[in-house]
Amino acid sequence: MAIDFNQNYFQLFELESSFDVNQENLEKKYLNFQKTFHPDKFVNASDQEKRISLQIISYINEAYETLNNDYLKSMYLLKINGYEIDDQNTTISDPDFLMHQMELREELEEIKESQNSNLKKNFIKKINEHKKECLEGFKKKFNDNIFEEASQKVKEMKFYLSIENEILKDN
Amino acid sequence: MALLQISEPGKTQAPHEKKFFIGIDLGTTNSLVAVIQNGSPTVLTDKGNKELFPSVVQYKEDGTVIICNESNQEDLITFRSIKRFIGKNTKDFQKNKPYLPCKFIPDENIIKFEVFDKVLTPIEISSEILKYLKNFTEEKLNGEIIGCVITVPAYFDDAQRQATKDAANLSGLKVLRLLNEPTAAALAYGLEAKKVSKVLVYDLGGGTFDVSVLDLNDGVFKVLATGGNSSLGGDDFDNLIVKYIVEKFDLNVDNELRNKLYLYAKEIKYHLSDNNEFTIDLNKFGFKEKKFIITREEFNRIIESLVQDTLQICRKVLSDSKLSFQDLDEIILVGGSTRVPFVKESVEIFFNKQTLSNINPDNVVAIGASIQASILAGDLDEDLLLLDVIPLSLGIETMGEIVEIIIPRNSTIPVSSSKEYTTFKDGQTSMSIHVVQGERDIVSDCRSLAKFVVKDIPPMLAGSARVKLEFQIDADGILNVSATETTTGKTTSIEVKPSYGLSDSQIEKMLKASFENAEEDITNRLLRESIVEAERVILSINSALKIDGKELLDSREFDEICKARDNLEQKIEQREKDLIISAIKNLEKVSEIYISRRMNSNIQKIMKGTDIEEFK
Repeated sequence: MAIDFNQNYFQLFELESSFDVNQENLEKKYLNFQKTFHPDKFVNASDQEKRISLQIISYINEAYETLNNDYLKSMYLLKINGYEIDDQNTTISDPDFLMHQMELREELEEIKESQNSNLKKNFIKKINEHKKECLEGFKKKFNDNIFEEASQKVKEMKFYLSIENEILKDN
Repeated sequence: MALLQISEPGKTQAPHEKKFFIGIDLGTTNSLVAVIQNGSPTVLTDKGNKELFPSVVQYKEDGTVIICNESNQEDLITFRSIKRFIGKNTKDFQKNKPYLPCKFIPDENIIKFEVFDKVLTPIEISSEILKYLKNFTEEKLNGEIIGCVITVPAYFDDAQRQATKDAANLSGLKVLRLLNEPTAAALAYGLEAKKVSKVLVYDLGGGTFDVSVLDLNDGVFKVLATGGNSSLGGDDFDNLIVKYIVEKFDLNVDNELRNKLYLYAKEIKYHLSDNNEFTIDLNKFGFKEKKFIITREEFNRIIESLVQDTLQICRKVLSDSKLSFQDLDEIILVGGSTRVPFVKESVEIFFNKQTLSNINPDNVVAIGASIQASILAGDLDEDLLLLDVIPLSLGIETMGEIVEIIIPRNSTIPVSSSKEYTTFKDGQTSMSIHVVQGERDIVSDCRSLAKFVVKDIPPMLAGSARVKLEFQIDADGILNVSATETTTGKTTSIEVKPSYGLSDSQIEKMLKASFENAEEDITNRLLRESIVEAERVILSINSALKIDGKELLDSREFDEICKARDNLEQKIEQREKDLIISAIKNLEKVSEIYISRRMNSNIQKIMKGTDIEEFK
């Protein structure tokens, strides 16, 4: 494909490459892209154009999804700053956080066993607060160009997301 | 939309023939066809003024096929509800054996029915229904169908969608898009005009019950959750009435009488939907003095527990969608059984909300499909875009039977994702990949979609080959996979073994076979298709060149494209399929750089904030 998609997602949507993106501009550009390149606009076109439209819109959807998701966005920000994190390998070595991880896991198991909906609700609330804190931490470290520590925050976020996912799945 | 303007309907076509885009509701019990005429959707009726075509296919030993007109002749093999089998294999029915009209041959990938001396798959049987609808419509409208939108349940997975498309392909229909049934219903009610809205679609048909919760946001339709019961529908109401009559008079019934009573029960149900009472008289079945009046209240009481069941399913689906009762903006009633007043009342009481039901609930899905078909064809001047999502996550099997999610559910489609894998043995030249669909962590809890073998990996030391797999889901929710070895840039070949359905070559074989006895032979059809494609390419190149050819191309490039185009025009005259196709390929290759530049220039315009309206 000869199309220049080398620009990063922020450039693609003409946004400043920072964590806090202008949501309104993002949405507007996204819809404009969709209205121009969506395969529905090419049902009567040649196969070649269909293929290109499919590739372009897949790319745009991926970019939009990334910029709309705090976790993906943080990873992506680090990546374009030369600090790539392997999504499959997000083990954390900080002993304090490991301790904290274990405590939350134990709590989760207890709640699952008790099936107490109030406990569950509070736990979800707590995880949400941790997530928020973690995000703030990331933003600060990232803005100060301390990428190593920022990446720690991303890994922590991954943990909170997986524990949140687990409790939401538990019915 | 003028990126490469194509849509000039009528231009490439013979002037005397009308061209149509239609919407098809390919239902479990009945199928319908709708088309936009003079700007408004119409559901087509047959000679008897009926809109519903029973989805029934019957085979006779002499090879005759009776479609959509159920016959009572004996010695027929009758397929009702073939939709239940589409995209499934025999394993799917191990737990819950459905009624089968004939023997089937065990097969890993697909159900094969032994129909007298033939072996038929659900794809072929469904294609008979579609072929029938196509022929009926072309005759009725006195024109040609050039494209259609077919609706599928929102929960249909990749295999079921692919199988539906294969059936259409086999019937000679060109599918513009597969559309989710609840989305079609929302479209029929014009809900896309609303900025933001949460919609519950309650679809109670003859034999199935489906609930979906949709989130409509500025033309983006998301399916938040779906649920239902695939063996609950209006037919169960009829069975309950039969049971009621039999118990009331303590009758001894054989199969024949049961069938007669069953049809009588339908009559009673219809009557009680418009009237308050009905006089049941068994005199016509040979029972004297067996006569009594059934009231609507009594009927309501008979079906109450079934209706309650549907409401419990609604509650579950709503909770899956993480919405509460108050969040719902609209409730749409779909399916003939919602015409029973008690169903409608119960739903409205349950949700404490008026329902949308002013469009005939049998027709609403087909109408939505015809609207979408018309929009896609560029016939309806509406700037509507449906952005659909995939209903189930797509993942691959990793070590220890664990699923690694590659594309999460509810991702807006089309979407692609790539993953890199490496070899674990020195000199390894192939690797196998298992793709599954579902939300569970363990492979065996998900639905197996396909097994891929990536071949021709250049032999290298363990861990140094890099195989990049690209998973592409198109706008119909159908998956394609390609693989490249990235250190050498070599495209490796993939051998796909779908867990369900048929391979492309099997479909082609069937297509050929289906033409064996047909008047039009396959060569002709392929030639015609290649000419249509060639004309499309020429038209699109011409209109593009007119807009910005001089601007984006130097004179040498411009001439080269014109030469390739003229060559293609010449080849069309020669009416040789292979020549035409290679000339199309040539023109596409020559103009690739140009098309890329156009796409980029459009992106640039968007970046500059140019309003999209300006380059329409």
